[in-house]
Amino acid sequence: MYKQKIKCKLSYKKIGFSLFLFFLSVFPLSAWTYAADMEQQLKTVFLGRLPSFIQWPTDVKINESQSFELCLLGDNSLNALVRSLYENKLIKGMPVNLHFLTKVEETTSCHLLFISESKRKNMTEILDFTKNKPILTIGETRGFAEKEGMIQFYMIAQKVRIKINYQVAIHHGFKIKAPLLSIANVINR
Amino acid sequence: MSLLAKQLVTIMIISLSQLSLVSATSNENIETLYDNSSLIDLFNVETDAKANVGSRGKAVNLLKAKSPVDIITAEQINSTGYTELSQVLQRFIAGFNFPRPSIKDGTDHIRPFTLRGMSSDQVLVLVNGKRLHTSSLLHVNGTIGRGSTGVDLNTIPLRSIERVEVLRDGASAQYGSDAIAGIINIILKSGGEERRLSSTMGQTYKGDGELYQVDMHYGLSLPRDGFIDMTAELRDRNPTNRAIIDTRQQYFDGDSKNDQVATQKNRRGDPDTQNFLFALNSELPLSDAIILYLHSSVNYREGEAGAFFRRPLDNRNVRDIYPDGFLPLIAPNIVDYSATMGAKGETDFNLHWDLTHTMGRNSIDYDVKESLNASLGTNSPTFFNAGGLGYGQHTTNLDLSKELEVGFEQPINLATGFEWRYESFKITAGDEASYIHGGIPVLDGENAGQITMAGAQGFPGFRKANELQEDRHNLASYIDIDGQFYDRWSLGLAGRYEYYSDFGSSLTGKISLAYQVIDDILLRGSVGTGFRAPSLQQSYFNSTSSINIDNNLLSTSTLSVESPVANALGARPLQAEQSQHFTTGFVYQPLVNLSFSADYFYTKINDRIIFSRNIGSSTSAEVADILATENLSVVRFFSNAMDTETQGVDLRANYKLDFQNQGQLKLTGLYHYNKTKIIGQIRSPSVLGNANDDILFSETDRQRLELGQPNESLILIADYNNKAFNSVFKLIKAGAFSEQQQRLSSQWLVDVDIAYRLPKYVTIAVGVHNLFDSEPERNNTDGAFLQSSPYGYNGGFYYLRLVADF
Repeated sequence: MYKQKIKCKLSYKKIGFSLFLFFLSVFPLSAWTYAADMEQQLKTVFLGRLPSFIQWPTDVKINESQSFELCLLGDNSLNALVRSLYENKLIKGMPVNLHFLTKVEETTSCHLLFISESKRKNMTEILDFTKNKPILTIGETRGFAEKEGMIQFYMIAQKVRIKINYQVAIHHGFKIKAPLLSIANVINR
Repeated sequence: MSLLAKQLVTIMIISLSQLSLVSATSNENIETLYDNSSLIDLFNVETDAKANVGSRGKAVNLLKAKSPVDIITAEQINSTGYTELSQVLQRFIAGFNFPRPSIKDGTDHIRPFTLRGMSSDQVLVLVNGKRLHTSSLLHVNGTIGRGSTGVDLNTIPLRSIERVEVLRDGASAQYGSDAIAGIINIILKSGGEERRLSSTMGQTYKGDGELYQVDMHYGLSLPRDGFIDMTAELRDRNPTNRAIIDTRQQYFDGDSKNDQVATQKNRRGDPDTQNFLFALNSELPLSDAIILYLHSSVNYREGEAGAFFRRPLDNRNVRDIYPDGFLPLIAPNIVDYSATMGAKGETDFNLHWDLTHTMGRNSIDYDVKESLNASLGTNSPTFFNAGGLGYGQHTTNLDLSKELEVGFEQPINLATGFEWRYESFKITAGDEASYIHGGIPVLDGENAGQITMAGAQGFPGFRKANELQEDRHNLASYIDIDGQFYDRWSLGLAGRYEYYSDFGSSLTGKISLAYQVIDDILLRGSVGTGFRAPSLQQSYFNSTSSINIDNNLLSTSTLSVESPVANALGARPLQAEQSQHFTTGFVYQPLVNLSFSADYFYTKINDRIIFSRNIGSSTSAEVADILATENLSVVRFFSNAMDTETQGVDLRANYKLDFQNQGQLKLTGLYHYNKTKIIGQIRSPSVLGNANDDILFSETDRQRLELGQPNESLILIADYNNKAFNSVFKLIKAGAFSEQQQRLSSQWLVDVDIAYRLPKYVTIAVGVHNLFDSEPERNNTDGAFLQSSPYGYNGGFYYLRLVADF
């Protein structure tokens, strides 16, 4: 009985050691890559995917002969990810022009403006500036949608959620497609 | 079972290895997310687990944390089929032990847990980052955790929990007393979006322990992203019984009833309990800069568990009342509530502030049913109120933090704060009949005329002389600096000063360091000091019961350290336990969906508080003289008498794989090993005789501390879910442990939970705990189950769960 137990322990050690060697051989140092924060990755992906479900106001020149002006305002941990993902991508069938901005006054030509958390203290002024302009505003600051931002990212149970201020979007001439409305948290509908 | 378990381990390891070959790197991952995921898929992607505990700054990704942290999510909690938080933690934290003692008075109802081999009072428990009060119960019986007073984790409704963060590192320098083995931070659900009704029903394979639970969570959104989230749970759990057949002689010699077939007389198993739990979590932003918040919990628990059976022929029986003997039932009513109110915000100078007050109270009121006081003869009542215990805590905190640009790579987070805490402990006497000696002797049988026992059988009540109301307060301040100070180096520095009105002051510090060797390998470590203030219960709890020795009625007492007899025996006011910690380890994340971590820890505790063994008049003539002054035969008391060291390792592996059919497989492997050792001699007062370990702490006590818990545990979890199904498979190994001079071999268990989501937001799930009905080894003398079995001895349990989202 005692010998059997020893044998069992040895076999586990062998399995563990084999596993260790296996992983060392499968993942050589040169293959390691940086693991970006999944929350940031998801928000970055949403920036390019959400326009597919949104129709810009008819007076905005947004067609395949143009470029899609994607702007990010403020110190932003998304900047590097946005650059790497969208440099050679199309959004709404258009090549993407990226703008990393520090002042709200630079946002006039943006189709989509992502306002980072770092600008939370100036949010009212920023949203006042974009008011009545055909700019889809997206933010991640608490209360962003209620402050007349159009789309707000927030987190519930480790998952990214989206809150849409429907009236503000409609007031600015945007049309939001049903699939997005059906899974977002829509306020002021 | 053992062979099957080994095969399962091998299969899981091979699966893990093979699946990793098809994983994606991070850059490919974001491309894959963009190109291949539908909008709904994106909504279902789980982001990296982040924890608030361990850092005063922003929540920290577990793979970047300077100290090891585990997170258990609401989804994981829901998929266990358990209804108590402690049992859930036991299934997800290797090194978290939660045995099921029985016939141990109040400990049957508030069972102590341990973390990394250390007691529950050496673990700080927070709710939303605020200190939760401990229970009023002091564990004085021979169970794991004997002499400790910990938090009753099962007062928090499971459905109210968003996640549980478990910091596996000493952190007294950051959070104060108790954070020696680690910190459990319970984060309540927020956001006001979830509305869910669920019900769980189940029973053991043997047909007892029927469980019925209904719970509801209701969330409500408030302006400015405020919310109210409320949870209510109602639970009724019937007792289990795994007692052995009582083959002893039951009746007097010559009674024909002695020829009856022997039956089960004791009740050894889970108590009969009814629980009502409620929790509330809310935030109401007043402006962009100020948020008011409130969270609270209420738990009302009625329990009923047996004491030892009194045979018909027993001197403690009155045969006119119970001709066939009786099983006294100890039935505590436990009330536990807490509330935290506060405001937090940010000034124009980016200073974050948080002012809060937390109040909490736990009380136990003991009833004793189907019993008697033999010394009251045939006039004895059969129901008694045996008095109770109460513990209250008020804590006020002011926390300030600010990110500072000081020329390092990143801003550093500077935090400071102040704390005031007030604690009180109360013992209330029971009915006079529950403790007095009525003067009536044994009425019949061969011992007729002898003195019989005083007080209610099963649980003699607290006496008037035991009543007390004690309190203390303490003040604390801390400073905490945290940040990336150079290239790939992160540093945390913390210092904390505390002043307690009873034992004095404490100064603790901690340094933690992390080095990102390359992007996927993090080395980390910390050194620090810590402390645990003696609980008021340890300092002041006292109780008395009577025993008959040679037809003399003597008392056996648990003494407060301030009592004259305890003082004469060398007891002194309790001081804080002092600890030193060292932790080091690494995190290796070769792929976005694959990570490993390994951490070694060492904790030394000086002046550890122990609860003595029974010290009787046979110890020495001097002790006998001291005990005789108050007609005592046996006493017990607390003292700072021991130094211990605990060391061990934690290993963790996580793998996640997404399938084309929107399914996802998560594999988790957890391993924990620890060893606790008493260092040097146990310091017994000289009045007790020659310095000898056995005077204060028996061999049984030593065995319980050093070997009484599994020194290793292994948990392997496979969790597969897609749109319709969620199935969770757990393979658990609890290592060997010792009890009653017996070494019990390790035990393997398998848990399975399979859930199917019906259209229209309804989920139906079935599951089994301990699928193969594995039993721990039994006592090799009488065949009874032992108290310290980490997973109890109920055997298999199956259940049905219905969930409706609305």
